[in-house]
Amino acid sequence: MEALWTNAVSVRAKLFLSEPYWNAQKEQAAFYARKGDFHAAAAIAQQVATGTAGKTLKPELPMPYLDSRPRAVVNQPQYLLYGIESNVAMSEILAMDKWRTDGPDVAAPRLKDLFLPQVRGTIDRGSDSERTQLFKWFEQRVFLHMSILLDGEPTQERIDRAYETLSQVKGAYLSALGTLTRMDETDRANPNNQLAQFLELDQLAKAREEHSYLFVEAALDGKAMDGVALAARENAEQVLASALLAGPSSSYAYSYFPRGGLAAAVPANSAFVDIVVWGAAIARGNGRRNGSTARSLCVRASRHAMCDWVRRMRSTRISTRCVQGLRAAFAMAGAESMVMTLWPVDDAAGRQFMKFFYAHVKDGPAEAVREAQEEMLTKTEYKSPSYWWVCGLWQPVARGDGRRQENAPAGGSSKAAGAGGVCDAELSGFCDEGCGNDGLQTGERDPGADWRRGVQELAGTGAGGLCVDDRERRGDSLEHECEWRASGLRS
Amino acid sequence: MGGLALAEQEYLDMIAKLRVAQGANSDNIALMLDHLGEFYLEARSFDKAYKAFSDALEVRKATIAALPATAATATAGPEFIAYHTFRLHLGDLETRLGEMDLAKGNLKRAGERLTDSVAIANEPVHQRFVFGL
Repeated sequence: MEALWTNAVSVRAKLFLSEPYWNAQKEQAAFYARKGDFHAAAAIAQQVATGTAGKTLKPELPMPYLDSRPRAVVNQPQYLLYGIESNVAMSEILAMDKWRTDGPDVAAPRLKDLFLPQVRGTIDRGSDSERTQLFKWFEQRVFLHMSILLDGEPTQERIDRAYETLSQVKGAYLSALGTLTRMDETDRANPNNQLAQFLELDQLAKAREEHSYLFVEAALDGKAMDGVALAARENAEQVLASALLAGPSSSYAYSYFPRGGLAAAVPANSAFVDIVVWGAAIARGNGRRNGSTARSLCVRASRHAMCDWVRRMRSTRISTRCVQGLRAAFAMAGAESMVMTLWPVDDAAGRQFMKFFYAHVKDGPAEAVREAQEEMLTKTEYKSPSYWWVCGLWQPVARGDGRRQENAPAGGSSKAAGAGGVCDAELSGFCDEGCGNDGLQTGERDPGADWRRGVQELAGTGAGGLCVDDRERRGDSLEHECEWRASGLRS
Repeated sequence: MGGLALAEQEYLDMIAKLRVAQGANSDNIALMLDHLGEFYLEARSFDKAYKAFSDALEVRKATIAALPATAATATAGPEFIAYHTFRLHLGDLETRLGEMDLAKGNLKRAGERLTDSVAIANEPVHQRFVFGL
């Protein structure tokens, strides 16, 4: 077997500027690792790292027809992950070798670092589903490596038993790394953020590190799994995680509204900003806009409002549920108006709609929406309401005298004066929906329900008014009703 | 019937219909059996997966044997493409089965399969393709 792997690499030597040669070496290293010979594996891994550094390699060709193979089809996400995954595996092999030769104290930092340099970019760019998939792959890979390490030539029964024993621990370990990495990217790196939660995050990271350390010791050194110690770490993690989630900057806020990014996105003066949302990921400007579930969002806000968001959330003692709807969050941040889609957007139609919208935006958002809808109907093939009715204008602020609060100070728009204002949705022909069900996957949390509860709580704090559209799909028709909740009163 | 059971039944139905329409050994059946094996792997039904991959391997061998004798020496054209496409699939199936044998601790069998697989993968025409799992 060893000779086969050696030959497989040598016959590809002439392809040293192509991926197949180096991938063969990676697989050869994995072969030695599976045998438990981490020293030989590490020598190859080091060779790969040195040989590929700074080179742009010719890619492999896809395997014809085998679209069910994880690695066989180059346009599958799994294949795209192979490069990352295999590189991390090489780093992991080097760390394992250090573990064996120099002990855990030398190897442990390498294990922790595995996830940062190679993966950060992918996590930062990817959507939630891509991140989930990435970590699932890592978990599978770690499972295989770790469980096989329990025994140089493991039986299937032993692998199964190891998986049953360790999978949850490994999953928690890897998920924790992912969560922390994401938080790190969105908040820690931004010098404008001074979050008290960093202390809790550090404690959580420490607990998770201890947790993973126990696990790795058991997997690599064959130490008995200390269930009590593991449970204690798990409990500590849960307590700390709960504290973080219950805080004013909830995980939802972390995920959906990276404050640093929003603040940087909004110019110093009021401006229009395009934000495309895929689940929890937000990009701006010319960011990626693929995916049928993308929703485009136009926000008028100010940098001051965004930067001030966290402070005001704390000072107003509003439940975190209030920000579990996108609109509520931007209203809290001082956004004066939003043009949001009500259901997943067709990419081409959405692009066309926004072009029309911006052509008229100088007339104000309500007029721009109306004009864009008309032009969608008259100038494009997107005549179905599912295309042109998709964008709704939402303006949370209204004066007591019934006029819209134009040019309001950015920080004060979520605290409108008085009650009984005019719903701006009437200007644009319809209002926003509050159900929040669009685009959700089965089992996914319904932010709309929380948002509704948040609205009530927001009203209790003295907020001027919020427009909620109770929209229900009944066959092809949409029925909606606009209602006001303002300072605890209904107009 | 749960989702997995339903999916399994759909796969089996499709394979049965393909056998009626195309005979016992066709390219589509080899691929469908391969997909079925992947499905069983996802469901962690390792024995069923092994059986499905093994069946796929036998069908694939039969489809290669059914090609014209000139296919193996062709340097271009449909016969060339069919032969090497089928051989690539054969090698991939051998790899999959070899890995499973390795995981099961059957190193001898794994060695045999991977020897075959590596020989196919090492053919110059095949070297640039994604190979393995």
